[in-house]
Amino acid sequence: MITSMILFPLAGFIINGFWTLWAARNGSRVSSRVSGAIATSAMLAAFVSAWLARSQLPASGSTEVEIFRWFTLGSLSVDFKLRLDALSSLFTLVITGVGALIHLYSVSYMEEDEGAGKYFAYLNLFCFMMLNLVLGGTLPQVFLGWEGVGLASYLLIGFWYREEANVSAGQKAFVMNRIGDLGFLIAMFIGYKYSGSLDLATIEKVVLPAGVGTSFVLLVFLACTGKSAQIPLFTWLPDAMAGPTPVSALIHAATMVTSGVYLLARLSPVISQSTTGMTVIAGIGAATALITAIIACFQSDIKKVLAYSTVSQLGFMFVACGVGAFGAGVFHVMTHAFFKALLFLGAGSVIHGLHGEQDIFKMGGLKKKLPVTFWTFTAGWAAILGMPPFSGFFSKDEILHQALVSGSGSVILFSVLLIAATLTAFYMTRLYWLVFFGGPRMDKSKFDHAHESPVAMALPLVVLGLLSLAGGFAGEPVHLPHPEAVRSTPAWIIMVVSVLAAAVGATIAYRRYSAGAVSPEAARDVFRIDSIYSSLFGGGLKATASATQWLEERVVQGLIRLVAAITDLSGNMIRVLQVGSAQAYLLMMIIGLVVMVIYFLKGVAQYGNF
Amino acid sequence: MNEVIQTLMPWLILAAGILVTLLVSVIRVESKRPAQFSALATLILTGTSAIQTLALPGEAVFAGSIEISSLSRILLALFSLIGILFIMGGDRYLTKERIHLSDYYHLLLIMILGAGVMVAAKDLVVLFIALEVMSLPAYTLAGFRRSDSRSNEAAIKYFVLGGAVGAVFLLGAAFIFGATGSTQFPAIYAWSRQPATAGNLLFAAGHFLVLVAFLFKVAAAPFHFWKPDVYEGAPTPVTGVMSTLVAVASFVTLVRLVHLPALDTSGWESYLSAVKGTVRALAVISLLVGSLVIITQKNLKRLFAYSSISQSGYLMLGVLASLNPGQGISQVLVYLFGYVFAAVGLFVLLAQSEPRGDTGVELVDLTGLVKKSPLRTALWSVLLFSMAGMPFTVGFFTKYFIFLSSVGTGEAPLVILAALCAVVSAYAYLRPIGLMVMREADPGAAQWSGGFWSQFVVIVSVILVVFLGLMPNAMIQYLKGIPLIH
Repeated sequence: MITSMILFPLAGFIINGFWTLWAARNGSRVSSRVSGAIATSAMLAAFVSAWLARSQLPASGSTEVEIFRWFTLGSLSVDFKLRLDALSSLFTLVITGVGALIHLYSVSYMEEDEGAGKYFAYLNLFCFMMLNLVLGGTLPQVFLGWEGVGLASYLLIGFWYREEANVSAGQKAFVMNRIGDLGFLIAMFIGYKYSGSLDLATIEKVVLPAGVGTSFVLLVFLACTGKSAQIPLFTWLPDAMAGPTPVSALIHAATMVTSGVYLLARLSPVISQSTTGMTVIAGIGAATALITAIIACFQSDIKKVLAYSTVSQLGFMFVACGVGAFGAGVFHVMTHAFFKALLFLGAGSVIHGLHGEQDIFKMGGLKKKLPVTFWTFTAGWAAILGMPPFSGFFSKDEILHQALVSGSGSVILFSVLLIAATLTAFYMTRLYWLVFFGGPRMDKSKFDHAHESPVAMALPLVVLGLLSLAGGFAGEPVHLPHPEAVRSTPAWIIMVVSVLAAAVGATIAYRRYSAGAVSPEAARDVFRIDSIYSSLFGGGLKATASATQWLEERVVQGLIRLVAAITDLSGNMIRVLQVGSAQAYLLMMIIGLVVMVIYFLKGVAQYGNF
Repeated sequence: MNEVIQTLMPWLILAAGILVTLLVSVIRVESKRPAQFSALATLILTGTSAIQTLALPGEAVFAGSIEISSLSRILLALFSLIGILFIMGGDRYLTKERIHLSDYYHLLLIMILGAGVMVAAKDLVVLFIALEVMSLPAYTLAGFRRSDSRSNEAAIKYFVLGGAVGAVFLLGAAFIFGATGSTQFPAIYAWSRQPATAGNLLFAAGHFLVLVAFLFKVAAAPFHFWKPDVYEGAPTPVTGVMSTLVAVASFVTLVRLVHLPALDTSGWESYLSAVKGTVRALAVISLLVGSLVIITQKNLKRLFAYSSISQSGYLMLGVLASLNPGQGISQVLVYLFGYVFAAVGLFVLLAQSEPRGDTGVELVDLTGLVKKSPLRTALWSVLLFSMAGMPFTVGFFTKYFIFLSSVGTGEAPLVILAALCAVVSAYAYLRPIGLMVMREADPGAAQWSGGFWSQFVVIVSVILVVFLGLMPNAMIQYLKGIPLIH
């Protein structure tokens, strides 16, 4: 079952891939319906396998399938094997389940696109890689998946490569992820050095010396900041929204970006050995949650709002890991996969209905026009706000609770998250209201032509809507060791506070955006927005937002440019030596030889035992 | 005598084949096909006979100056394969450039013979002769595009600097002979193990010079300056042969020479640390130069020249690891094999571009390739990914093993630097893919056309790269069983 789970998407990739190549040769077109049907049924089959595999999970908690001996190097031998336990099983269910729904949705979304065959091949490839990542029994195999999802996402972001912005977005994502991968690789070498093995089962149990442990955790976390878009490597995710919307839903909301949380949860016994490392994780997570929530309040592109929101929610998950509540983090991965995929698909439905419009200030009044989208979006909205009994309520509440009561938690962490949650309610309600209520702010003809999406797109919305509504009752799906509670704040107080915070955020947004008609001009009036924010938060918010923007544009981009410039400069300096004359080269070789002989003689003099 | 002939069979076939090819090319000057077929047949026979005898035990011939072992057999087979692939893949290029002459083939065969003897040599003098036999045809071939001044320049540069390599090597060999009284490897090894001779300065100086000569030869920075110019000027298939055959032969020889004396015997510690220091320093410089300068390159052949300079850096990490007790050398062999499989495909692809007059193949020629030829774009991408060390390709594993073996010997800072360099240079390999897939074709971009055999070679190379990238174990296990030193 475990093996077939990864084979189905692989088969889908191969079939669609060869078909596309064949069609390109013959000049014929790949039917988007048929290739979509192949890809979707591959994912459905994978989902059934994942379900069966979970039901067959032995009582001991984990099962391994060895596929082949991968490589042997000295005393180290590494098998290509799949390892299923509660944690990986949950991820496989989310990947295949949400994946299947998004595939189904794509069939209709990509109907008019010429490159549908290529699209579905890449999408299947992505799922195959993602399953390898979570099922990998050894670190190299996880790394294989880790790189593979990066590659697939790079291909999918650049899918509409005719647009220059997509090209650079794809490259940005790639480069940022490479920086993170460096951390992964070096951490892997450290793990090998101290455990003598690359098996996850062994590395999980390794006890690292204090200093090494911290650098291990920080390196792993560097890898996670790349893949899961945390500070300082978060800027690629909003840019990645250049890809098709279902891709954003699958890769940049539900699955790939959560692989950082998976890795931390997977290595949780090692991670929790380093207090410093954990503090850094929680700190960066909280900072990311807050800052990106602020940025989200200033976006007008519907996908950008959701993208920053994803980064912010990932920050919540990292805080959970950082305070030792890995289970809560994983819980939020699950609920977030439901409601964020739903919100993205809903946004896709809106964009589809409005023939490509993405600016929320040019929407409005779509409630009647897109009823299915509206009602399911409402479920997603309530879930991300954390309204009981929607799924997000349970997981977010658990994270807030742990951030306050656990040993490494603090009032500061809790307050930062609470503010972030309030802002989340604000920007989501703003989005929700501007899209579905009020009068239409787009051209009349566009509004008249707005249409509800076909059933293949509506069905996934409904299923995800139900999951967003009820998914939280499952409770924490994976039982990972919990941190000890050092503060005894009753859970119900936190529950009430968090719901109140969400309500406050939502109310402010409602008052701001429902008061009369929001004309596009007024909505764009920076000064007015500015004044309203100023009256609310004393100008601090706007300042933070622009500071962050400045930080991103000048400092982060500047740093990247600086590195590029230094590389260029040193490259040019070395190139200057490349004068092109054989005499000069000979001279340089002789100088090199002389230097080496001097070095050699110095060595002799130093040791003196020749 | 019969036994000697049997042992030397693959080499003798090759030598006989050279004569036949030479004769054929003299008899039928107007057509190059007979020489081409003769060369192909020679190489196929040589390769098969080398593979057939692979399992036989090693045997020293000619008074111990040459040892035919599984190492020299598998390498001769690899060299023959390289020759076959470049003859098949370079055919169209030579015709397009109007340099398709019969002489090309016997010169290529002589190069292969030189390389094949060099990796089997057990005597410094034989090794030197083999080095020259390999290099002289290479100088000629580098200047094969006679009407192009860059090609002439490349030949001269290659020749002058190759001469310097030979001079330094001979000086070192003379010192070694002066110290030990022998030029044969086993005698030198035995000599170095005696307590009385440990740390002998004359020998150390001679050995050091011999190593430096081969560090020149593998173009470890800062001795790399000739490489980009020579790569650019030489005809593309010849560049490919230099980058694979010459590189493998030189590197294997370098490793064997590093392990010429028993440096783990007591008394050699300070010299060992001097050798390690040198290799470490050159590895760092090669990695930095290779991965930084590669970013500014626009000409694809120069780009691959810098790529091969950084490959030297990674390989020297493997050499460094082998200098520690209990460490094997298989990671170097694995790396070389993996590199060859990808490089053959890359250079044959490069040779598929139509000539554009006075400039070589530039990055701009790749723009918009995906629209013109999706298959070729896919092939390019896989091979470039392998060069960048991306997973799913053999390039990932070969680098990974070098890193793993180095981590175990306490070279962690060097590994971090090397991993960093891999990230930086990944950009240079990624950019061509970006240009192919995501840019519209530049009006001045070259046309690409391969022909069946050229495309066939590239596909073979891609299949090897992907297959070994997924299942490297068989190759690793096989190469691990080969004793490289003593």
